[in-house]
Amino acid sequence: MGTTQTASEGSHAADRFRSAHQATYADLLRFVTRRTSASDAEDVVAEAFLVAWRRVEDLPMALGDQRAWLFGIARNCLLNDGRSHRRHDALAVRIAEHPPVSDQELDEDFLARRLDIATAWPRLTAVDQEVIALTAWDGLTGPEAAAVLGISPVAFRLRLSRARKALRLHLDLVSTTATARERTAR
Amino acid sequence: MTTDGLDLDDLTTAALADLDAAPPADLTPSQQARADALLASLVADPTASEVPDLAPVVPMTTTVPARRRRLRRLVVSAGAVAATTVGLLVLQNVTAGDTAYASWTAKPASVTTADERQIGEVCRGYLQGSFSAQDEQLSRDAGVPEAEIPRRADLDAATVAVAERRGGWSFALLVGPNAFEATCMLQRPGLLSRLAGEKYASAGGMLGRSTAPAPDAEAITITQSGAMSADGAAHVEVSGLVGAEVSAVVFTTPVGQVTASVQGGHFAAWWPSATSDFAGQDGSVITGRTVDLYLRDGRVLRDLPVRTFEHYDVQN
Repeated sequence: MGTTQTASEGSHAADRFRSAHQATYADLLRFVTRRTSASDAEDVVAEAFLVAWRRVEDLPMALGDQRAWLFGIARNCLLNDGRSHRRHDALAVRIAEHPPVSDQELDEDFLARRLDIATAWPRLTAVDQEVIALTAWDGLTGPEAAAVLGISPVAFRLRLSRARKALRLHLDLVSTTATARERTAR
Repeated sequence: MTTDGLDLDDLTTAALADLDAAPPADLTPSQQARADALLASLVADPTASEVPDLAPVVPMTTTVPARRRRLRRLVVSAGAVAATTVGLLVLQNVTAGDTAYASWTAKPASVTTADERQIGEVCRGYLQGSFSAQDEQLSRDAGVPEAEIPRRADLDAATVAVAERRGGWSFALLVGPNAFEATCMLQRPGLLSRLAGEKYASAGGMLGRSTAPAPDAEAITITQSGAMSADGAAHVEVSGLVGAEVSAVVFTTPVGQVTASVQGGHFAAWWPSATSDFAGQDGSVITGRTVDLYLRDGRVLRDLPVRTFEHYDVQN
């Protein structure tokens, strides 16, 4: 908060910050939880909001942009403080260890595909995991995801294309492996 | 779910969605309370952005509800020292986890005088709160000679000899009358905890008394060493005296070259470890290690073997 800020401006900034906090807190907590331990997640979110409050004049107007901006801040907090599974300049993303039970689980193909993804996921690079997670789980559009990573939308689409290809490749590989194993078992 | 640009078939997309580690869910009441308190404290007080690491927090108009912390009573092996010191253990509350020591650095960061005073106060308070007659008995049971069992009065009079930071961890060596020594490690609390006034997220340490002789001018005496573990998180710590001509001390360890902090004739260092590193080594956690001593005249005494020490196992 600048020292030249008037009381009215300060109040307006606080109102905007409150709105953004209320609208994005849960999403930001989920974003961080995917990338660090559950015990650290709330602290990282708190640090992200502290940074955001210091830079409240940069808070975007649109909700989608606010989420992306805050996700980017939280990502930097994680990269900086060593509480994530960091690999170089990207964050590895966790997948659910115990997927929720649903009717879909009765479907054999669905179960097999989910198992294949669970096997293939750790084989992806952190860069690939990040771009897939940003769109599939964090619910961001391409431009928003690009903003989180601090890259251009074009660069993001390129990364996403590569990640998609890598996931397909690994899925084919693990499916083939599983099939061969079944054949051997018979 | 947005799948912009993610050209995967429907089955893969659905299966991927099912593997979300943080699926949509409402905040729990306690999470919501902490979120509300955080917002109130940030917006209500412009100085909230200056939340310190260890210091008492600036006055807040809102109290952040404390999170329930899992406390663990740890089993610790404290190997001690050059036929002299003890390893009486008061460690507890260390948070385990695969990223527990992720922020650790091989070279220590110095701390300001104000930080050192603060770390000393917190450490002494923590050690005083943890030190009991039962701990003295544990030392006797472990075979520690009476003359080497630390006393509460000596702890009360102890002052900080060395203080340092490695990542999110502060480490201090306290010394007092009757050759009293204590090490103390504090984990920097998370922001929410700092806002709630907590000074450390976890703490641990060792107490002892050393009758080791002062080292020669170009040597060091290790007066205390030990290993502490909790689930996946373990570390080794070592401290002692440096000779008048020694300016730097660097240990060769399984995690690489570790630079000790040297201050006022004392040194101290610690490094993350696997429990397997110190199991079955006659109790000494640093046997087999080597140390380089950097002298004030520019010479370096390299690869000096660290001596085998007598030890006592004290479990708490």
